[in-house]
Amino acid sequence: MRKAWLLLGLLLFPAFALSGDEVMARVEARPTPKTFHGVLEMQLINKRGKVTTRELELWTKKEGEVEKMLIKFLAPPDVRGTAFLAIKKGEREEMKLYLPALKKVRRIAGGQKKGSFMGSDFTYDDIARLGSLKRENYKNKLLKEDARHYLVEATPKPGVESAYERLLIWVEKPHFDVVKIEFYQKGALYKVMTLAEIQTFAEKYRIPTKLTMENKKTGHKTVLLQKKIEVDRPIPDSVFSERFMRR
Amino acid sequence: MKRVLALLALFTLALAQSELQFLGQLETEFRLRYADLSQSEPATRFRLRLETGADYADLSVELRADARGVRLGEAYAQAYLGPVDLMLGRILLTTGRTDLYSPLDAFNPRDYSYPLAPPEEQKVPVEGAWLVYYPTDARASVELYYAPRFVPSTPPEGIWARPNPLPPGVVKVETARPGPLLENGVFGVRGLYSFDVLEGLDVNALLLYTYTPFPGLKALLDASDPSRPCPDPSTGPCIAVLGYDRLTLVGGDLTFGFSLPEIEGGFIARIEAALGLTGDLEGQNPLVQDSYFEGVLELEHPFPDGPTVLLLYHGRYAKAPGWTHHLALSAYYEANESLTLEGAWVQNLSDGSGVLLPRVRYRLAEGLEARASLSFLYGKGTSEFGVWRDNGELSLGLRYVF
Repeated sequence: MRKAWLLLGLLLFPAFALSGDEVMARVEARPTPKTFHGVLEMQLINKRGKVTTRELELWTKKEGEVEKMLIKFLAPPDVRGTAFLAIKKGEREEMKLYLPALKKVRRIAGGQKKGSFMGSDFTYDDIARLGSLKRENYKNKLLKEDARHYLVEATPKPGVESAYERLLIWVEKPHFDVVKIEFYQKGALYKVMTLAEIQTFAEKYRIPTKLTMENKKTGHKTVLLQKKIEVDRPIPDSVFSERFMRR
Repeated sequence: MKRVLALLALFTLALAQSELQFLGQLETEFRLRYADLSQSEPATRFRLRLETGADYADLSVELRADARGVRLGEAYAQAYLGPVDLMLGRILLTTGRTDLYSPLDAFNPRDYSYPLAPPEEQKVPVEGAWLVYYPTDARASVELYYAPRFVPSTPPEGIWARPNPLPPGVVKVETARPGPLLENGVFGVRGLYSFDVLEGLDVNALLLYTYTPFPGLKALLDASDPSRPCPDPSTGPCIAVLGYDRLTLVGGDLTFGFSLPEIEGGFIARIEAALGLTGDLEGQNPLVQDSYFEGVLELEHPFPDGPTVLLLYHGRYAKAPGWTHHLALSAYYEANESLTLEGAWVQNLSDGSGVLLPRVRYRLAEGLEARASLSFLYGKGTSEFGVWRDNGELSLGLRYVF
């Protein structure tokens, strides 16, 4: 009889099986590729529905605490050849932008991480992380759990630099996929990111191939469609260099 | 020109298996001067670029057409040979890091015929070679430059030409250019290193053996017998012979990022300095242009959700006219993917003149952009910008990139 009550209790109150921090730990524990290479289509959609399309190529590599990312714009012609390089070592991050019209690689101030990435609703920082969250930087609280999702509230810990003061994260069962993040600023909902069309690559990596970031203040929206994805293929360090940015 | 085309043709054959891409830019601009409401002829410029490439090489050929006619723009072949990149052809390079004023960016001549054009559009490609060696350390590189033929810069023209009356007695001016000899070429070497300190630190050192961009007086000859010096320069008649002086440019620049605890956004500081050494270090010889020192301090700050602002100090010293100081402020704000607001203000602190240049760009459709800009020039009639104070204008333009 006691066992039956225990079983009933577990079925009725599964939300308390995991804490917010444990949910995010499970999200973080999912395998992530050491390298990623893909072509992305970026659609900028204004509140009247006008769509501007950009195409870019992305390389990322992770070795220990060093994260490297290079983005090159392929289209349209007026931004073609523009390249963005970010190298993160722990808390330190270097960012550089190559502007073909100036034939110059320009170092970007750290504060620009919070600025718009090439007119999109993603910040440079959003792009650099592409939805991944550093669990240890946030206080994670489980707000709700239903049959399909966990809802976690993440607030940056004191001293952690963040463009947002609160995040609500929807984590989908059973794979612990992050499917939606609401970003709050000055007490109000600022942006919503949805991560959809999640596919499995190399039989272990769960990667969303459609990311949408909507700015709730302006009604502007950016859709990132990931195409031609390659994971864990060796990418030489020379890709993450000023030399490669210029090519 | 023929050599460049032949070389590029060879490369085209080598890259024939690769995909060819045509890129173009059509731009038309109309200007209205406030002083007399005179209108310029609509200026139309067209650029067509052919690009192709493979893993080991790239080829790029650009044709430029405007009121002056059709000519070759940038046209180069670039090969990637292990740790070495080699570029040959008509090339455009950047050898400095600061904006608006860059003492080290002196490999390419400038076309100042319209002095308000953006600095990057004033650069003129030259025939030459650029070799970059990358050692195993990805943070270092060494660059070598060579241009076999010196090309001088073009001074402001038409309503922008600076008043330059002939000295008394001079009835004719002749300008001598360095001949096409190996020793008359422009040579340079630059070393670059990115240190992994602060929020990143880039250091560059440059040595460039070139010429002064504009000519200076070399001799006054007798107009009736040019083999003899002018007997009386004050009454003439004389021929003024102008020429370019050899210039050894030595300098360096550094860029670093840093943050201040109370200010959100971070900063980028750029410092660039150069010594321009001519044959007259002391400034004693009136027939050789004076040596000079030039330096720039620049601070860039992106305001969160606001513009990126750049504050710049530029100083230049030569025996004549002594120190010249400039202060500049520029801002850039991408309001959304359609609207961009830009502005620049340059103040000459030495003579009180200046220029203010606000500009708006609006993206009308994919590749199509409308541009509107104003220019206000002020100062005494003999000052650097005041000489153009009646040339303030409204400029409206369209640019289509495909």
